Amino acid sequence: MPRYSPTVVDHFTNPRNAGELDDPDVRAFIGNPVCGDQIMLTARVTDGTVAEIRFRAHGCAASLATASVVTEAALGATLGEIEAWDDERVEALLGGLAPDQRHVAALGRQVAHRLVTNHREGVDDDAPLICA
Amino acid sequence: MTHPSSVPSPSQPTVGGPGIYLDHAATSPVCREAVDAVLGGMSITGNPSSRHEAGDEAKDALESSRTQMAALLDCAADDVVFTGGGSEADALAVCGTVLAADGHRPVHVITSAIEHSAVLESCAMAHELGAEITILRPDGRGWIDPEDVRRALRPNTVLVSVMHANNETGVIQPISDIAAVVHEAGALLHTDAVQTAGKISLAGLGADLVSVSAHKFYGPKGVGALKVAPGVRLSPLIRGGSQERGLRAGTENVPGVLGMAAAATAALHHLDDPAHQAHRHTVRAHLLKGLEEAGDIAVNGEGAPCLPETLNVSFTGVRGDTLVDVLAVHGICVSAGSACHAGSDEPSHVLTAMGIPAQRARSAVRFSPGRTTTVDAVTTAAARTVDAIGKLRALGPAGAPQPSHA
Repeated sequence: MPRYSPTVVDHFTNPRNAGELDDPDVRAFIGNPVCGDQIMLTARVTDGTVAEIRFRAHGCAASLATASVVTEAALGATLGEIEAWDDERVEALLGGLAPDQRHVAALGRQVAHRLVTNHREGVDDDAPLICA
Repeated sequence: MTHPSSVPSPSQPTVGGPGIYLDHAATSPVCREAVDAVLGGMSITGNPSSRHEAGDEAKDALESSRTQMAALLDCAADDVVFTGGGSEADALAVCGTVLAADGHRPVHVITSAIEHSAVLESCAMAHELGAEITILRPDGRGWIDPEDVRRALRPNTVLVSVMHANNETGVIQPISDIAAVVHEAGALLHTDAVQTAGKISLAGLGADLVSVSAHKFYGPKGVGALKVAPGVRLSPLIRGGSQERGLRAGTENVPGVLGMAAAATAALHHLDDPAHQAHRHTVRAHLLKGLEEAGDIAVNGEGAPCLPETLNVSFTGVRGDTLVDVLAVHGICVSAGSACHAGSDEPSHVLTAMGIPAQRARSAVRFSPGRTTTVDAVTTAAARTVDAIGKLRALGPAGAPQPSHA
């Protein structure tokens, strides 16, 4: 059985929306202190909908794929729709995960929710992304 | 040489073309000589312990193999004990020595922090059996100083176990110097030669106990051997029969042993081939030169004597396990110094024992070419690695190092 789903392989080899927006409306950062995976999202939001989004990430291959699929799914979605995502939704976006990779689904859900919360509260995560 | 089944074949290219196997320190493909020997062994019916013609045939196969292994291990045939692999040989050497020691006082065992888990866990088991354990630290190059061994010796030291070459860095330890120090104190020396057997000569090591594993030198998996020098007292771990001089019960793996012996003989031919010896160093030089194009790399173990087949490199700004996964998609098989399992990411115990910071240890990847690896293959693999590193660095923090040619 392959270690990763075809979707995960596709996204960590051809990541979408990589980079960082200049002067974004909102910035969200999540780091997993145990395994060191980190994702930072920057987005522009128009009328409650994600109009533009980029990610930076450092971590295992599955976490890089997670950052990529999260941006792809978030683009064009309303903040309310994103807020409804759970871990299972992110895992489904990835085409499934092995049990030892499921922590990245939580990471993806958390950073997406943080983007919504930060936008609503008008705050940014200023923690720089560092290699851990 | 057979093509590794797990590597995409040239007729079935993946993303980047034919596969390139650079993970020989994990395991090597089985050489033709070993395949033929294993297949021949499968048609031997008898049990080597049986007293009839069929048994004699199996016994003869075993004993001729023992003679071949003795040539690899630089010992007498009677000193060779067949095991179920390198880890079992390590366990028998460490725990077998402790169990056989005089039980009137606690015994002391010295090992190093960079040993394979098979030795470290055997030492932990020896501790459970009542032994005191001292674990020596290497220097920053991953090298064990014989003088550190001398300082750690105690009157009750029964065994010192230091590997011949490290599996992650390839750094070769000064085993013959350590043997002199250990023997002066009246203790025994064990060396795990799993990474060196078939690559460099084991002659003159001076160790009393030497572990080898067939699948690291182009033999089959699940079979190994332990050299046990005359006069060394060991207690068996696997009991219930008098096979292997009573040191390892169980009917011997005749096909596996035949395959291991054939692989050992083939490996010894390569050891004597000057062209092959030059090729080993040429391949490493081209591989390293290619990887340097990534910029901001560090060779772990640099400055110490090293197996040319093992190159451990940290790439700043990239996780080793991630790079391994990306390269695997492109058909390039390498290993990381660390693996991300279940959300935990413990950096390599070997690299951290060398004093390498966790961040650099997590960015380490081991490239281990083999006997049939060509210069073209490592040049291609290095170029694809540099490309992958550039892409991964671009995903990470702004300002991460970029390839030197970019």
